[in-house]
Amino acid sequence: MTVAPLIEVKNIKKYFPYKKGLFGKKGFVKAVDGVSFSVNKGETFGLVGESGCGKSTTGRMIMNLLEPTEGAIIFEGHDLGSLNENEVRDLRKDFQMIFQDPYASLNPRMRVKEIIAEPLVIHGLLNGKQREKRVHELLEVVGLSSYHGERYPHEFSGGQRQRIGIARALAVNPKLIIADEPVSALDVSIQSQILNLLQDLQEEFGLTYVFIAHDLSVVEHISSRIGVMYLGRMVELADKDSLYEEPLHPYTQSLISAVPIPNPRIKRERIVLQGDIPSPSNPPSGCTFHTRCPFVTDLCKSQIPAFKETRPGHFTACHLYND
Amino acid sequence: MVQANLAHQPKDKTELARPQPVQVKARTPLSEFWRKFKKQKMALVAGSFVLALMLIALVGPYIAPYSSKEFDYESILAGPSLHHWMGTDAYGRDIFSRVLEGTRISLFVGLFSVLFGALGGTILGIIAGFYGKWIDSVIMRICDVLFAFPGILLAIGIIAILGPGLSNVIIAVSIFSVPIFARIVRSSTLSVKATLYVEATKSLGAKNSRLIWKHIFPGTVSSIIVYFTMRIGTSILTAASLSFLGLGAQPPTPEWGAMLSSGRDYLNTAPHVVFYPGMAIFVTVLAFNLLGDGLRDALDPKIKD
Amino acid sequence: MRDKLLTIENLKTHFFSDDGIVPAVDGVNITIKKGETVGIVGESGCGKSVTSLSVMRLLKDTPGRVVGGSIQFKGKDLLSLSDREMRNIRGNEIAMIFQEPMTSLNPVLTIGRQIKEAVGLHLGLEGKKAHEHVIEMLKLVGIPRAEEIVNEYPHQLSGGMRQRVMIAMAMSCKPKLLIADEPTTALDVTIQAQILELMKKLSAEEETAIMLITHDLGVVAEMCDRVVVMYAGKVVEEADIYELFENPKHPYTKGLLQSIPKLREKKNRLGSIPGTVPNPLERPPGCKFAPRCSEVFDLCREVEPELLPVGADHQCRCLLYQRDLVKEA
Repeated sequence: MTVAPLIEVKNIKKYFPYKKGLFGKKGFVKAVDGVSFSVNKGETFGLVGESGCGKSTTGRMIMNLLEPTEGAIIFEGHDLGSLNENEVRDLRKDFQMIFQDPYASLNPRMRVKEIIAEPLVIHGLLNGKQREKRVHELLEVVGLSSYHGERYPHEFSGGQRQRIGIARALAVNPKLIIADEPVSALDVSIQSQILNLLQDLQEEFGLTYVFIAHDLSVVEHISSRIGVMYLGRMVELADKDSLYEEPLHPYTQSLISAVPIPNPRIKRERIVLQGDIPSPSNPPSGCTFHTRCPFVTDLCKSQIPAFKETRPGHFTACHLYND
Repeated sequence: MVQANLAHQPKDKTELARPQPVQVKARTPLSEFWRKFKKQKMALVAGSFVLALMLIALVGPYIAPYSSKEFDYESILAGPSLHHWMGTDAYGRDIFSRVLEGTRISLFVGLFSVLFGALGGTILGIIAGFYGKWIDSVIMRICDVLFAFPGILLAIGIIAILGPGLSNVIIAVSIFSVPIFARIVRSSTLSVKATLYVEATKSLGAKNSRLIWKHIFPGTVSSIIVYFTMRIGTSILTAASLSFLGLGAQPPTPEWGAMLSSGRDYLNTAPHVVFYPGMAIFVTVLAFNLLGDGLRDALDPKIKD
Repeated sequence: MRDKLLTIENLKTHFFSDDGIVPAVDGVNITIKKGETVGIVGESGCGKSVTSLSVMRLLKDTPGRVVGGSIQFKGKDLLSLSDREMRNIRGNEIAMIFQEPMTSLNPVLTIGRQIKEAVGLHLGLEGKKAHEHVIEMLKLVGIPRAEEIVNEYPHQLSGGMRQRVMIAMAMSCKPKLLIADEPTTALDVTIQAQILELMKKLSAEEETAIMLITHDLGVVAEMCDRVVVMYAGKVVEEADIYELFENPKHPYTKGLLQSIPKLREKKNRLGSIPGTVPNPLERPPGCKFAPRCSEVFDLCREVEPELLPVGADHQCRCLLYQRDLVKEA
């Protein structure tokens, strides 16, 4: 591809320090341990994985809510780490986030119009009448009505609140939206409303999404390229079709086969993984997946597999494909 | 470019199905609060009583049948009668009038000492909770030290330094209210700080000042209100105790505690001299506490319906 | 035909709040046969969980009360049993597992103690025998190091392990009916797969009937023999699993099926149901789904349809299939 990516994540790491016991030695929870990917303008990049895989931490680092322990995030050629506070704040206009919990992400003490106007106020955009007009436009865009602005969040259902969260994210015309599990707290029929809305908005405003989720069907539906994470590392990254048609990493394979299919006629042979996801505070040596992998070899236990392009555009971190 | 596009309607109108206004009555936080508060009969009674007290504090001296300084040597230590509803004291002063006038002093002392205490405590609590790290440690350790003294002893100590008098009572009571508010505000700051909506606002690029003023502080207001109300009761009690000990209001000021103090010599012969000021203190403190309880139940987001 | 194990007839459970009476369950009929897995599907607020709590008679601490109908379990009316008789049935013949296993386990007791308590209470096992039974149960649900786990506390286990413990507890008395309320919703996909496999295996071995409450149609397709779809406190459709997925009748069921993204489906846009679930205090007259229905006609807003057969072992509450009745009216 010739276009420069909108955002480039280079080998970011996030270690959270913790203390074991009262006088115990210090350790680190390696929430994210060397993740790299890039997102092109106008695409939806899906980030999937199970709890504790570091997908949300990655999203928060891109949003600058957490500072990476190591690595760089480059947005339109600017290294976010090298900017000062004011420059970062300015750049935030281009980044917005949609959160998982539509109940907790809106201040219950503010009216909806204040919530949606908040990014405009923060960045000193528009004033008075214009700001109000903009809020009304945004409410309409996300499928609410302008009279909803006068109300408080608790008067809305989960789906409507998520629409409010989306309107707030759109207020400052962002280029990139990080959506952290935006539909997982919603009912099935509302999920599809929100997914469709996100797709419409993308088309209309040329948005780029990083879509973080644990639901593989949802991620497949909305994304163009997908990265699969396991215990702080990216294990596979490919465009949607090759990832789902031909998953290479044994973890991706089992993840896809574990998704229940809403069709009673399909009785699949499922790869049921043994055991639990290990704790990120004490990850297994070598390939972190080796404790549950059906194809484990001695090499996997000692050596971390490199994240390499195994097929054109299809990256995997697995010794099976490194000969 | 997005601006221009905004007027454009989404393609699939039915899909978005704008919800119709179902609830006509607006459910503002205030109306929610009132809905829950009015269910608590005790708190309602206490609240009305507090309002009445405030009214008395304003107009008390004007409606009092006698002046608080009016001596009537004809009827010394007279029991309650039609002329003197609560009887008279050792100088023949009308106790009812003195209690009415004392309301203003007690409420004034209670209100202002808590106001200053809450102000200082809130600022310290928010700073400690929001910034954390060493600032938090320093502020909270100082509070711990203040907590280690019994409240009244601390107040006596402060007055020993500043000298007796009502204004010094206010200062003393404020000072020992500060750590209480600091601790409460700090803990609610911590919980508000951890909420997703604060993180969401941070992600919008908000500065700390905005986070504190628009999000953290409003989030702590409900617990401040509750403790504010309850502390007024306690402060009135403390102020009265200090006056009783001769450290606060000096005779002939009709302060309830001072009235108790000067009446205690006649406890056996004329109990009404201490009974009515005592009741005034008791009922006032109780009313503030009940009101505070009711406010807590109505403001606590965890208690639904 | 297999024997009927549980028959819920015209169950009405209402919640009494300040704002009014919420008819959370508003006339529900469900039958579960011996050894059968029945899925109860619906979105939040449809009354599926309240139905299960009504069966277990666990509404005591809520403002809810069963105000009508009957619940027959093996010929006994559960609603008329004394608390003591009900306690005997609960855990012994009907067991329940919840979405969040952490909240249903006592944090200060070891895993072993908690299962032992259940075993002692219902099977009368004590001492060494009980201990052995507990370990056997833990092994049965696929818990590694069962001998060590019995001495651990709930917080030391992962979510998947805790759910296994809950299942072990529930199955320890070989119940005839297991009520599972969103048992895998809080779990990761790979762990969910393990738990579902486990539940399938156990129900096949012990002939336990399962009432599976979930919002996930994928889980339903995989687990259930029959499905009950609920909306706004009522059953709107009930059918055999194949029939429901291949020949859904109710517009709500159809909408639900169209709104879930399916793997490898390559659909650009999902179908969706407009609007939101009506506020239970202000449910519309007539069909409760009418305001969101794509096939609505005038009468829907006035007449509440009945749950009537639309095929073999297939019932639906929709006026579209009740035209004759409509004409008469």
